[in-house]
Amino acid sequence: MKRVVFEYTIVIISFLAILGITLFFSLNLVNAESSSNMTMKVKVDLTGFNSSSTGEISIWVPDSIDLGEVDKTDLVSDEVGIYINNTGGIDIRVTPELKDSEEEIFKYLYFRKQKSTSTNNTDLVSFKKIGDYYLDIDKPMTGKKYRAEHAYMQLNLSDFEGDIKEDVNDYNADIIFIATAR
Amino acid sequence: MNLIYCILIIILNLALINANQLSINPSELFINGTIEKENCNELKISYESSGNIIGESKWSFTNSREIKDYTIDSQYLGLIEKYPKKIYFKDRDTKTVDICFDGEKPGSYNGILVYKTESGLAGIGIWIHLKLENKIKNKIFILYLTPTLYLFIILILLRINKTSKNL
Repeated sequence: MKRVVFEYTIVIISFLAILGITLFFSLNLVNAESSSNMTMKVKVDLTGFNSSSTGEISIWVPDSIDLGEVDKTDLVSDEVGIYINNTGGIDIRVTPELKDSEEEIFKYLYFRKQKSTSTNNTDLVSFKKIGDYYLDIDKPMTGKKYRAEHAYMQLNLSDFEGDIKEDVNDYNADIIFIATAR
Repeated sequence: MNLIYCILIIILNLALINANQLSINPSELFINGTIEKENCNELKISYESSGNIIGESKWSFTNSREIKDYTIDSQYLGLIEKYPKKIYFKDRDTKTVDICFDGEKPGSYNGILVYKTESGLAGIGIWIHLKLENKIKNKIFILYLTPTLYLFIILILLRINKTSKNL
């Protein structure tokens, strides 16, 4: 009985061995066939076929933005207009971000596309906090070097729960306007 | 005098226009490669001012187009990144840099590589589509090894069988 089991084991393993050898030779045959035909590999990079273009991305932003003054009795700054130029060849999305994510005061920066309330599009006139806001800029029109878009920003410390102990002139923080392909 | 004044204004305006312009080409990187090997692509970066550009990459489990979704560090995913983290630009300079990634596990990875100006307000994010596959050599090695291993086992079994018969 033991011997029968033993022989069956040998038969199964032999079958697996034959299968393995077959795979081994078939792989070698495929390789040999491709080399015997003396084929030459032709390579080409096909780009720009994705839904989004992979062209040059380029932006121009102002060097600095001054929000004026925030007073203890008036915790909202001036609403300042900023212009950002799309100087590349593709549609972009510009996302403002604080360089220092731990920054306490400037995380209360708010943005919106339009000041006017004459439009029915509430999305354009409602403020969005930094981190949730982005500005879409289409690529420049044919023959133009850039396309400009504007947004408005404001510092609103109404919800600020920290403690500002003394007056600070020219308090500043770095904002980065990051452009990505749309 | 008026002409000189006009020229001066034009020059000043041009200087302002190019004050903080950052450009990168291409805007997305599609990198297909194998694990345990450096897989690279080139980026061309232009900066119209002088100063450093700082690079940092973040990853996401979803293929999103929103920067806030990219929060994962490359180490967490077992990815090794090799690209210049700080590049110095002289006035109106263009540089070509190699962006390389290596990983431990095969799969598709979604990332963003952001280059920010150190002193200015401009930054550009490059979407990264990294696809890593197993090494083909490993597969071939297994195929080569399997029949040899089976034959070795058969020989041992036959030897045992023969010994037991003799006993």
